[in-house]
Amino acid sequence: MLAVLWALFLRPVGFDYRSKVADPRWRTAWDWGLFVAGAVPALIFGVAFGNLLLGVPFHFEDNLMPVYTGSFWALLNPFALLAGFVSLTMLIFHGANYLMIRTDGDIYARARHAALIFGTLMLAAFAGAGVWVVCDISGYVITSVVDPSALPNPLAKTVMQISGAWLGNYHKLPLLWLVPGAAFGGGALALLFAWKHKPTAAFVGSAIAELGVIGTAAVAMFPFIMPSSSDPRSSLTVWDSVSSRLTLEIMFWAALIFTPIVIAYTSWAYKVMSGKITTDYIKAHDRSAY
Amino acid sequence: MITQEVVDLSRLQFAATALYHFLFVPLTLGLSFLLAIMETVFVMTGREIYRDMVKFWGKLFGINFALGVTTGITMEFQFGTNWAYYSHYVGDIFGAPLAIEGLMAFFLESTFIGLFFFGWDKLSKRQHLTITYLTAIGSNLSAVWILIANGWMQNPVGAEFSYVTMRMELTSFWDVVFNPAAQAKFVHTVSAGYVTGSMFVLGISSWYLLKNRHVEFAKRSFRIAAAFGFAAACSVIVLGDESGYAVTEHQKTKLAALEGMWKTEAAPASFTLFAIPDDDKRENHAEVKIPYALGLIATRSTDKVLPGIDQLEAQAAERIGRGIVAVKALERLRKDGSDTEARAAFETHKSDLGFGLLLRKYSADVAAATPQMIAQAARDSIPKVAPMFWTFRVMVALGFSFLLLFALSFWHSAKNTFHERRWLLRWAVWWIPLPWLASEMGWFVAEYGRQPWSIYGVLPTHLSTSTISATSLYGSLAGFLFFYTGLLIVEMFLMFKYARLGPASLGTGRYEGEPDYRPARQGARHV
Repeated sequence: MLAVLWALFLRPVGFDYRSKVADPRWRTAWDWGLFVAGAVPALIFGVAFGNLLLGVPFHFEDNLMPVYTGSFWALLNPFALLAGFVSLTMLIFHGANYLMIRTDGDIYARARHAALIFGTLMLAAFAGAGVWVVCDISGYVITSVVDPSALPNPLAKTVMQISGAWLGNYHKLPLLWLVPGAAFGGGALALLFAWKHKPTAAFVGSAIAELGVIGTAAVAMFPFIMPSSSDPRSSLTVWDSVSSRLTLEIMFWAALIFTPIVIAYTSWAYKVMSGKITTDYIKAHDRSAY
Repeated sequence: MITQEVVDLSRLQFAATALYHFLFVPLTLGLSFLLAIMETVFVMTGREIYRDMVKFWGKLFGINFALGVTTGITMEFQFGTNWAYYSHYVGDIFGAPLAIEGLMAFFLESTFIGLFFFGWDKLSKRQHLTITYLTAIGSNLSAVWILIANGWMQNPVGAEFSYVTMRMELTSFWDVVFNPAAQAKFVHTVSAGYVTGSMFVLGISSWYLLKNRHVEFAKRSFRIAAAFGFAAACSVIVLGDESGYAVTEHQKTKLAALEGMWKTEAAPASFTLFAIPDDDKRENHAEVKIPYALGLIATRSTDKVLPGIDQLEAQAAERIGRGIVAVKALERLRKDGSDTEARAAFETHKSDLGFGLLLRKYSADVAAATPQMIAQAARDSIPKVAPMFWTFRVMVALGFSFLLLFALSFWHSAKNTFHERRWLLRWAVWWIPLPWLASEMGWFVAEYGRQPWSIYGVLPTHLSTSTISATSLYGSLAGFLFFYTGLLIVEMFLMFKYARLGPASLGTGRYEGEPDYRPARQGARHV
């Protein structure tokens, strides 16, 4: 996590500072900083998700103090790295589609090129990770009776690791196969549209693909959030991880009120700033905008 | 295993990163409103020089803002990385204000800061002015929610411990929001931010005036900063007093330590103006006291007694005794939830649970604690006196010096003589860094003074950490040191560079120092 944090440091600073000194080396250094700040978190968040599917070695002590018993390097295992690769390529794909909407000329051509490459890689890696989960990774199931309305206590249940358990939800409710379907379908359509020079449609496609990819893992794991490989009963499920009813109610209302407001003003901001960014525009605003 | 070293390193890391973060926050709080004021003047008068002021001070605002955001991310990360048990224990209460802060304030401020910089040509004057106000309101709202969270750590109201979930659970959200400790803290902190922003503009403008550069620009900036700063300096002192009153009510140990009250005095207690507190001998040397003053300020009465350290320690020892019963009853309840006898004992003594936990520092089994351990834990319940006593006094002295400087600046700007008073201008330049010093000291008093608790009276700091090794903490500390030093050097470099350039950095051709600068005719006004 600290790698993510330190990488994120470079992001707000990078955007603001990269044009503040007119030396190409200064600009290049900050651009590399922005590259790291974008790539490392994208990769690590995927790695984290991969580890969740595998289960993480941790347990709770009796006073509910969580104790992690693995090492940092164990988190960088092959499956987790593949998941990281899915996440990284997925975000590059999506970002490239957006860049196509906002630019023209040379940058547009490069963005399209990147979209085609990374979109293909994402679909391949996602399919690969899917096969890996089906063939080689055991999921977790709760073996005791769960009372979802009880006060959360992660130690009050029993859990077993069973091969193929991550497919359980899909077998129970076959409609859920639509979720990985959306990942493949959205991704394929986005590739097609990027190829056909239709960036807006491609952007919508890669957005659907993102929902599909993240949703696929979420559906597979439900109700688990963080399974424990070393002490399965310490695993955190959604019912163990909730806040109190009152806090949840307050957050429900806060989100209900503020999320639409946030979406409204963010959309307005995007609308104000919409349109292609051209080299002429940048030259005209050389001093004022930064 | 959690050792004392892990606890100390975690505290050091949090303190260092939080104080570093607060190098950038006050300027954001203050400058955002100054920008809004300048832009209001621009929209009302239509004079271009005011827009240039917004743009130039906005540039410096941006340099600072980027690091404020950056270092703010660290704070939220640390709850998870270094304070896992704390997060588990109080997440139910602490989480909501922080989440609402994100939804309500942080998104607002970070969306509109983009439009502030890039929207000049795309928005009408009024629209852009609205954006500037929303950015300012966003950053101040952000402070509201964060200080509500912090205020709850100082005075944990509206929550109750649950032995099933082993954490504090919310019982009243409104008690948390309208916590008097949080409200007093919020107004004191934001007015400190306004003082910082005003001092920044005042000082840099004075520097231009001393160098006889950008005179019209600097004079207008100086006037706005002097007026806003004067109001802010008044309120920071008045509201600081309010904050102190909240401390008297809710944190008697903090008050006793920062006033060096070893012994309880008859009401109204005297105020110690100067002393050399001795934490080993538990007494003050070379005291200078003002009779009755403290009692009047702190209790706003002549008859309420302020407990001294002797009395507070005795109370703590009693509460530790009851806390032991609570801890033992809790252990039995964890083993067998249907143990009615244990439940009864727990319910009776639950308010002292935290005091029982203080003993965990010395003995894993609190029932086996010796009388010496109890005496030591009671002693721990009072923060160290000398550092509290001094930081508090330096902070207050600085606060009054700001008031004096702003009062004189305001007076001379009303008489339109400030640009000839070189001593005043020099004073303003030299005083630029001091609001930061005062803010950092204020936070030291607030947070060091909360020790030994992370949640006052509820959860001891030494139980709040994560189960990580001292080695990894040294590693992350080194990382922070490396990144933060680098970022600070870059930030200061850019700040100095742009402050020296002044409005010439805008490239409008209207200010000296630019290649295409043409001085305006004598007596001509800026359009």
